[in-house]
Amino acid sequence: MPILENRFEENVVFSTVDEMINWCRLSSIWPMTFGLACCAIEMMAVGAGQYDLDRFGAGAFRATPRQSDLMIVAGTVTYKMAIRIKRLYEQMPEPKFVMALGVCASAGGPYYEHGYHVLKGVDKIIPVDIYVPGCPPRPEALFDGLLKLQEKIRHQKVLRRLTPQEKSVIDETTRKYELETQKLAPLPKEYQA
Amino acid sequence: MKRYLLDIWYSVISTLIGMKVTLKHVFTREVTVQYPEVKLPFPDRFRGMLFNDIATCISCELCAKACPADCIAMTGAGKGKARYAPMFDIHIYKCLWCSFCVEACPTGSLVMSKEYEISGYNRDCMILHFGEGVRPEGAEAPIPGTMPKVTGPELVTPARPHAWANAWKNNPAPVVEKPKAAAAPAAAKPAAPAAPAAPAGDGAPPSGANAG
Repeated sequence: MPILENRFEENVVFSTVDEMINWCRLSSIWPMTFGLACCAIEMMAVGAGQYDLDRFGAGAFRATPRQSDLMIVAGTVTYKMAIRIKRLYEQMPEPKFVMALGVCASAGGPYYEHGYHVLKGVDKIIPVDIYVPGCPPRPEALFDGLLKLQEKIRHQKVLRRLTPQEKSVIDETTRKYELETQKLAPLPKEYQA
Repeated sequence: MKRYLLDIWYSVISTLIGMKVTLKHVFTREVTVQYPEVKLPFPDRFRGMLFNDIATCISCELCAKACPADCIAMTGAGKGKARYAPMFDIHIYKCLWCSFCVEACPTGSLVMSKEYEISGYNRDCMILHFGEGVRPEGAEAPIPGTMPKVTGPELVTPARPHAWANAWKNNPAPVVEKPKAAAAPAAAKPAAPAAPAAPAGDGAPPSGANAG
């Protein structure tokens, strides 16, 4: 809703509309079908019968970024894969959310010190909404991250105007991502998109 | 015409045969764990997040040396039995969950707890602070607000006790049988780690980067 977004005052009508939109968004978070490393095995376990991801409306793994809301970055993000991930993220429609599953996707993980080929956290190329540490995380930890993401979506403002404090937080986050992206070592030429 | 009707008959029959398998599962035991309400019991040797009982820690740095990923950043101060750890940070974002540090710990203060739900909205959730803070010469307890600045990679946030580390005050720590050597220096140690100086940065509203 780019035309209507953040244009209205706080009142009963728009608070209720926002609540409804947020409820719709958090109740059907469709993830994208892709996994990068061993954390993806845990993600598959979450989709199976014992830990049923469908209970939270997030079990419909879409095979295309254009139909998905949530990007579960499950595993080690190598430099070669990083540009693909960024492209997939840009292909997702708004609103889109990113979960960094496992410490590799969160901050580099065991490759933090000596990984010459690993991106030190996927948040250096795309904004991450929820970090789930673990090597790999338990399936319950993924659920915990998903519930916290739902809680985050529940408090978002869609139509209502943001307060200056909230706006400053978003600006700060954007600035931080830009800085971190600049800090990133340039990719080799043959890998550049 | 006969062939046409037979095709319809076979399609109905084969569907029913398939649905019989589905129907069998209606009467079997439910396998789904209703996670937020019901949690699976973990085995005794389950390796979760690291936890350091800092009052027992003698700051020998054996765990930091045993770690293959250098995820424990610590400093030691004091001599002999009064030795303590002003800074004990576990960088979860490098941890392998290999439990080598727990095997190396001589006092049993470092354990792998059964905690796994520490996901968060920023990178702060991946650094666990267990340090006591800087203690002046002769003082029995650390002075609040004197937590040392953590030096190192740019990821490390200003040192403050992690929310999860504080949560252990309410929940009892996992029971570990401590060796006899750990009982002697316990008198010189404070009972609790340093109180948080200021809960800076906690007030960020959860309306994230995607709202704009």
